This record gives sequence, C-alpha cells and structure tokens, in this order.
Amino acid sequence: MMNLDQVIHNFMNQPNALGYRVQQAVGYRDAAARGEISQSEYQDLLEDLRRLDDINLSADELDQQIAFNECISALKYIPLP
Amino acid sequence: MTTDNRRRIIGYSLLALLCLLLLSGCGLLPSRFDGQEHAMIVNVHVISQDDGVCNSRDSAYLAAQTMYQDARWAWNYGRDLPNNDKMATMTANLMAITRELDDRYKKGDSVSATYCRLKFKNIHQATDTILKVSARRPRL
Repeated sequence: MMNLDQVIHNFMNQPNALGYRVQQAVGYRDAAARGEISQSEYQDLLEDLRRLDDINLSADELDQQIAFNECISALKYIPLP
Repeated sequence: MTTDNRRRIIGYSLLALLCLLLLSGCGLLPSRFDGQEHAMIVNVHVISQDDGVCNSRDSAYLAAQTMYQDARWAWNYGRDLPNNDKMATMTANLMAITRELDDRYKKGDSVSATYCRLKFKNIHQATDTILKVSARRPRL
C-alpha cells in the first residue's frame, strides 16, 4: 500500500498541469518546513492553487466558446453546395 | 434576383438568426474583446513581473495595493457585461489572489519576502492565462 508521500510523488511526476500544481504545493510545504513562510502564508498559497485551477477552467471554457463562435462565423460565408 | 436566390438569402438570414439565438441562449456566445478590461489586467501582469519589490515592505505594499485595486476594477467593470461570466469568474479569482497579499500589508502583519515572491508568481500565472484568452475574444 502506498503512503501519502508516494501518492504525492506520483502526482508530481505527471507531465501535465496537475503535476505542475502538485510540484508547486510541495514547494510551498518545503518553504514552510524551512521556516521561509508562515503557516497562514502556506495555507493561503495552497488556496491560490485552487483559484489558479478555477481560472484555467474558465479560460478553457471561454476558449471553446471562441472557437465555436469562429466556426459558426466561418460557416456563414461558405456557400451551400 | 431569382426566387431561388431570394429563398436562399432568407434561409441564410434565418439560419444566422437562429444560430445567434441558440448561442446566446445556451451561453455559447463569447463576450466581445474589451480594451479597458484587458488593459487593467495588463497593469496587474506588468506589476507582477517585478518581484524585486518584495525586498522592501513599502514598495511591496504599494505594488500589492495597486494590483488588488486593478483586479477589483476589472471584476466590477466586467461582471455586468453581456456574456462575460467566464471573464468575471477569472477576475474574481484574480481579485481573491491579490486581496490576500494586500490585506496582510494593510493589517501590518509580518510578510515574508518568500511569500511575497510566490504570490507575485501566482498573480503572474493568473494574469498570463487570462490575457491569453481575453486577447482572442472577437472584436466588433
């Protein structure tokens, strides 16, 4: 059975946005452990990761809306056969 | 103009109108590009590039305050624009990220330079994502 550190390590090694976010979170934990940031600063930075994820989600959705709108606009100019 | 052509033009017009109604009804119509909203996010982006200010409390406080005010402006300005819910969600999150840093300086809390730099990095990431998609929105 994997322990928590192994689970985090597995997430960290994923070559995608999730992996990058987990790397950031682990970086925050290390900074807190070294005493470079306080406990409340650590909590806030972790909360930032959730907010950044929300921003990415909305950006993806808006991107899809833009692409769909461009397709519809292009279709209007293509004559029917 | 032949009757066939006329029918075709009317058909296209109705199709375009139907598409427009469907897109707006289903929330699939993106908001138009807005220069003022975009410019305010660019301001935050530019300020967040320079995390060297984190070495001085006064400079860091001024930068944090400006970023929060600009993010707040962008959210208040954009939240009532038509079909702008996605942008409003993003600026609301940006506002939350910038508010925390501003609050800590405002309350007189001790703020570590590392935390300040990490916050600047997060704000930079957020504005980078928002600006990339905002710039692609259709122009009038």
